[in-house]
Amino acid sequence: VTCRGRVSSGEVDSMVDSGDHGQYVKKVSEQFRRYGHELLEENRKLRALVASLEAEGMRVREELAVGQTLADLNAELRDKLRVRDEEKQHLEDQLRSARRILETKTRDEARLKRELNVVDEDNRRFTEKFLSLEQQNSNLANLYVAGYRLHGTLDRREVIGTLQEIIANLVGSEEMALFELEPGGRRLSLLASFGIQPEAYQVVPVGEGVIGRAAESGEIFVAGHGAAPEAAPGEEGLTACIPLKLEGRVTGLVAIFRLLPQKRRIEDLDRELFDLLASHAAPALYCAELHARAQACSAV
Amino acid sequence: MSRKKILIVDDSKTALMMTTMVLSKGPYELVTAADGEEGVARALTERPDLIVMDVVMPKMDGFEACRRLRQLEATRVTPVIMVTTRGEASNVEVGYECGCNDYVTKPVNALELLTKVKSQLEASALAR
Repeated sequence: VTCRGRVSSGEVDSMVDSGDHGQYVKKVSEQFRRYGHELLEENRKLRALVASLEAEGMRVREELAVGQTLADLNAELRDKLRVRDEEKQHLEDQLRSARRILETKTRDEARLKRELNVVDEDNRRFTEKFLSLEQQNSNLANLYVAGYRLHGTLDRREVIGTLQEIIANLVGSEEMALFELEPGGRRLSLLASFGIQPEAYQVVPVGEGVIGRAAESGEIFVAGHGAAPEAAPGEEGLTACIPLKLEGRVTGLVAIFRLLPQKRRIEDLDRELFDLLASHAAPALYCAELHARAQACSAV
Repeated sequence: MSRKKILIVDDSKTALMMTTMVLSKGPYELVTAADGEEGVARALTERPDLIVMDVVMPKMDGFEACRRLRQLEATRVTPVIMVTTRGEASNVEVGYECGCNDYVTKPVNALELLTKVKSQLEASALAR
């Protein structure tokens, strides 16, 4: 038997020699009891240790389980990361592709912008051209209407009415006087008027004032253009004088006074209209007069 | 799309011819009348989509004709463009009081008239 606090062989021999067996047994018993206690104590410690180890084992197992979970999670995350990397790679590929497309598109856009600018410029030029043509078209229409209307009748009153309408609607004046040259060519007498006091213009001597000088020269007068002859009384508001010619001879004259407020100045079209009136109004009036005479003769 | 019908009312044959020539460039069917009275009558029979009307006319002037048109159910909302000799504010104001929608001044600028006719026809179509 080996135990802690065991009786040594020397002590046993001494106790046997002394014949003190009880003492010996007692001592042994005491030692055994102490030994038992120690064993129990040792056993308790061992149990505690075992319990502790079991707890530790449990904890370790739990930690292992957690570790496993973490490992699984880690693996899962790695998978996800891998998928993410693949996606990233894919997206980067797409991005590169998109950048290439964008570059192409940007180049195309720049090219289209340049082309658009050219088209815009063409468009602007064509619009200007169109407006110019429209204006020319409108001007020609004005001239056509004026010519058509002047020669559209053989009624003298209608020709005079047409002259008034042309001045009012196409030139833009509501103050006009129509004169005819008297036989002998020394005076202009008022044939028709509107918008003015006719009394002041019944007779105008040729060569006097703006109207008389225009009749004398046969040149169209437009106020504000070139040297103006000295105005006679009543000619202050005169805008234009158009001598009416038949085969180069002045037979009458149209005097245009103030323009309508919205008509600011005499324009190129007006000058063309004046030219047309100068060359077409006199023949129209002459034809109407001849027609009237012919009608009168045929009636007789 | 059917062609829009435009009634032109003017006593001046020269102005009437000029306006007709200008508007015939557009996709319009044109009818004419020689004074305000005839204009109102033709507006009722022809039912135009737009009326271009001179102000100074015999029998019935453009302002009175416009007033009459506004009183009639058939022409109450038909756009009217007045052709005025004088573009002063007072004259234009009278036109608007009579119910006209827009105006142009003489001598008529072809592009201006075409633009205003187109604009009024579009506005009228939107209003319906």
